[in-house]
Amino acid sequence: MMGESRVTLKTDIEELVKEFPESVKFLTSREVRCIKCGEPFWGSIGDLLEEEEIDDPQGLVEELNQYIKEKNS
Amino acid sequence: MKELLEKLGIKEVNPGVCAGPDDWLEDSQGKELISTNPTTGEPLAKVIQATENTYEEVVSQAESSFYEWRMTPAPKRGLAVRDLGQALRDLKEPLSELVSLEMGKIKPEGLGEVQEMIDICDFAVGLSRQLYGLTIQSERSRHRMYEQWHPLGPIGVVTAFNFPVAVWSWNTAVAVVCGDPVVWKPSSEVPLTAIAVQNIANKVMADHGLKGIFNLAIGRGSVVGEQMINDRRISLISFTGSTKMGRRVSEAVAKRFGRTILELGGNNAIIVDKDADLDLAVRAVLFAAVGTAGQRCTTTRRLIMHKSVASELTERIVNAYKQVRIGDPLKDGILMGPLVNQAAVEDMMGALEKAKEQGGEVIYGGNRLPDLGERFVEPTIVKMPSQTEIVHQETFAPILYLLECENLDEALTLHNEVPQGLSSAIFTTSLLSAEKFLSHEGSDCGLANVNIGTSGAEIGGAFGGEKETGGGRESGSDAWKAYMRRQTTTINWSKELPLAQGIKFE
Repeated sequence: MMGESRVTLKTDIEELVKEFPESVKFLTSREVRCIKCGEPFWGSIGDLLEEEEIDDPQGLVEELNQYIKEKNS
Repeated sequence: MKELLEKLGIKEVNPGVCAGPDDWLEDSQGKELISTNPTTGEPLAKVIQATENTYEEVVSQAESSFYEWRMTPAPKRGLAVRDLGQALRDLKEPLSELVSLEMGKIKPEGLGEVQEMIDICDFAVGLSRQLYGLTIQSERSRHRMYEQWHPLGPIGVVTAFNFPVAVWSWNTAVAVVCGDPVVWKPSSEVPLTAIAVQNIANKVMADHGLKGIFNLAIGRGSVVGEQMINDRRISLISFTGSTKMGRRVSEAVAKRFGRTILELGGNNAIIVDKDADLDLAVRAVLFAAVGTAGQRCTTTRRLIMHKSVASELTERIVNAYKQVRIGDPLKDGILMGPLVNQAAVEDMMGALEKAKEQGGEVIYGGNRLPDLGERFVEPTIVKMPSQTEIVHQETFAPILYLLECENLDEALTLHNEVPQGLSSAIFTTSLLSAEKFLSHEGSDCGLANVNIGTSGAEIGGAFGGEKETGGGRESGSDAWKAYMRRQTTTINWSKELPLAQGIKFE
């Protein structure tokens, strides 16, 4: 689905939590809750980070990719 | 399992969009969704999700059906809901089993959920001969004023995974007797229960020569959900889900002056006062905090204890937690099944780390249970030094935060401090304390109970909450009014034309 398993700002949260559930814990540690009431946010990770007023969304996504890579290596 | 799925009309691959009997819609562009058993992680069946085209077809059908359905007398509309209730009685056992299989709640809770569907159908049938309007005294001679309630239009119902069928029925049984067709977008976690329910509804529609009254559109929130909330043909969106998504839904629907019923997050507390019956309190806390693996909107997430009973109560609750049998939700004697997916497990673990960072001490549980399966966790009790930031948030998992207080006033302050306002309870044998809790200086929630836990509401009452819970009401009491259009009418049966407020315009 995501080519080389790379998350981008355009990645749907619904897709993200299914493919990389470990992302949820990473995002929580950064004060971003992407699932609530057990249901994922509708829209992309970019939309969510914008709503959460995260200063450097691209940087956070890079860190998330790194985290996923380490978890799966 | 195969036999169960077949009994409910579920195939290996199923279209996820339906506008009536023999009207399942499929688009070759539709993406596949695999439903898995949370207990084993194994796939159950596949669903082809809605696309913009199939969504369009189903809503067009619902819209055209509305124009006919609104002209059917309400008591006749009630007959279709009566038959829906009967069909659910006939299939209560297999449908509840599918709820447990796909969502992970234990079998008695699955049966309870289908019973709720039956109960709301019974309620709605009675309602179909009521839908009362008021008669109002006019200030003008030989004038009559009254209110009447008209059907509103197609309704969009968006439900969450945790009550895969009951929440649909709370909305649908009432909406249909009110004259409104329903388009249902279920959670992507539980598409098969939705297909099973649609098959049941299709039979009812076929028996009554109907189509487009009960409709289904399974698909992603970012596709079907967004399309639905921005669709002017959908008069009302009843949304169950998170506060974050509720805000988005609310803004989108308000932009087009549509209506919403929002049933959003809860952060429910039980206050146990110094004079409480602790035997009752322990049993109530256990069910309310651990039932459905902590995945109810009304799950007890905070326990606010008077300091004089805190020590004994904590010990007794920990002992009760130790007795909880965790495992396959379909097996007899099991009290807690898995969480719905791996993401929910990660969410729980993330919240526990935050709680520890904020001074929390895990006094029971806190671990994954990989031997049972990757989605199993221990029910967890965390003693908090104060009501920190993580305690203000809803985590959809079996985490119970313990807090202590000096007196009832402090308990109420803690209780009402969180942004959510769904369900609440107090355990006390004092009439004064109970009444204070229920008064306007007491609980600020939509549901407030005395000597009963926070979960397990009956369908006869209106269900919903305040503050960030969204303010909507579903199910019983007068919640039906949200599904109808109120019209205030004045009839002049005199031969004069008096104006209101005595205005002379001559």
